[in-house]
Amino acid sequence: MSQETKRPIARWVIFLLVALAAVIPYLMKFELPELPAEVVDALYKEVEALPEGTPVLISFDFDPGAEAELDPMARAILRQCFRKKLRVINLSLYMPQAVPLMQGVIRDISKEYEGRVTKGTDYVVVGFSPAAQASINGMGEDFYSVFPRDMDDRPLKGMPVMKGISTLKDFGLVIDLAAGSLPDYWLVFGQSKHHFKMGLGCTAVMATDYYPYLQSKQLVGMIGGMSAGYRYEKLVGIPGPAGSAMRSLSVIHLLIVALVIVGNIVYFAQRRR
Amino acid sequence: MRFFKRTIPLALTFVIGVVFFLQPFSPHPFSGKLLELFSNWVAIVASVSLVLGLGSLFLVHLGKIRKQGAGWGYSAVLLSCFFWISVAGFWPMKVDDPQHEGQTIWKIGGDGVIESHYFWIYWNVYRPCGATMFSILGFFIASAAFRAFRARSLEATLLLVSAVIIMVGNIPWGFEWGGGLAGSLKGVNWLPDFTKAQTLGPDIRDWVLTVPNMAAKRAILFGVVLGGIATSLRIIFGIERSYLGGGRD
Repeated sequence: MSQETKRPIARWVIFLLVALAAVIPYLMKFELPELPAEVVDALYKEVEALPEGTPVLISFDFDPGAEAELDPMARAILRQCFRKKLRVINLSLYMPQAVPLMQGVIRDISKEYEGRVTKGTDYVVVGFSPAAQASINGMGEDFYSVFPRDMDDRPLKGMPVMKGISTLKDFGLVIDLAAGSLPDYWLVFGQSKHHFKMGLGCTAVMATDYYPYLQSKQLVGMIGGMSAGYRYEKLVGIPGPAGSAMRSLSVIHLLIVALVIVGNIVYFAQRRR
Repeated sequence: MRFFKRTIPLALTFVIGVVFFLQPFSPHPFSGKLLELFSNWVAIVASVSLVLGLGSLFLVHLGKIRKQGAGWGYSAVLLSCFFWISVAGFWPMKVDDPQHEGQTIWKIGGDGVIESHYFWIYWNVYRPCGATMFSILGFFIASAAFRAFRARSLEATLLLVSAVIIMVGNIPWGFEWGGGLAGSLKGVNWLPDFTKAQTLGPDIRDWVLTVPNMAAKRAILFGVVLGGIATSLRIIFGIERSYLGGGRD
């Protein structure tokens, strides 16, 4: 008897169930109820409270592996910033692979707000810098020493979007959208040294690591994973990719819970025998 | 030789370690300038290390192909992609002219991409592959949860219950069911108050995340930081020397 047939449910059956749980709800259109999350609402309120024209720095620190979770957050935050007429400075410190994702999100959202936002005045893409720790240290002393020019090779100093910005302290809010250890660098070398307000968008598996920073108020709020991204989309009021992904994710979560229960029933039944 | 290979690196490590240990405490502008200078040096070294990494990758796989060792075909695929993406990266692309609206120019790199071989490869090969690799994890997690998440002991049971609470708390229906359950628990006097809240699903989820989870994370964080300080001191004072590498003096 093979290993596969000994199992109460063969692995391929589980894989098939997961595939169906992912695809069917994604294709079906049904409305999910509200899912409140205090830490997500806190970040939304923080952005809402910023006065018009406040500079906000967004660090895109994720690659395609985490795009599904972080891209909806990036879109929702950018929409909120553009609606609020905040100045958005976009960069990446994670790896060069993050840059095209950043460019893609900004290109899409700036198109949505065409005529209302202008590159160089309302937003700018400054690109990628290696050695995150050194880059954050450098930006804390002089932002332009790390990013002297934008991705169009225009000097940043003197651009309307950069008005009044010389170091990290001058940003009204710094938001790190990260899959990896970048938030640690931002917190240790940036926030704790220069005391700027910081928000975090991260994958669900990372979220548990950053609760101590929420309690210490080093993070003003956090969007952790798809469900939090869905909540943020709801708060911003414009449906985005998290809505459809959340339908699949909710059904998969239920399936996993059901599998855990079945697995335990089988385990205890076998033990009794 | 020992002087150049041991004494000078140890002396440099000690001096720079002590200087940057004291740097955050100095409000003098020179201290900030010094940090900025060293930060720029680190960024330059990191950029050069990318080139070194690429060189090393190239040589390792080239050697494997020459010897036709196990899996040399994969190395050939890797090197083909290596050249393909490198050439595409340096290929000029059509972009919006930032100086003249509505016009386009050809250049290497930059924002406002219209056409580029590099971006074609990125969006149509790299991105789907990266997303697929990560998505496959979902299938294995489901299978592993079924096979391994068993209430074998008290610790395993606690882990299992926490995992179920977090999973159910993270789906919108969990919140609704929680609300219904909370209503039915209202009359039960011996239960703690948080179990009777209208938002039972997220409330219990948040309690797990902000109380037991945070306590454990904070303890781990303190341990890691204290370990980091101890290791840093060992390096600064020359007790820990493995970073100097082995070999003859």
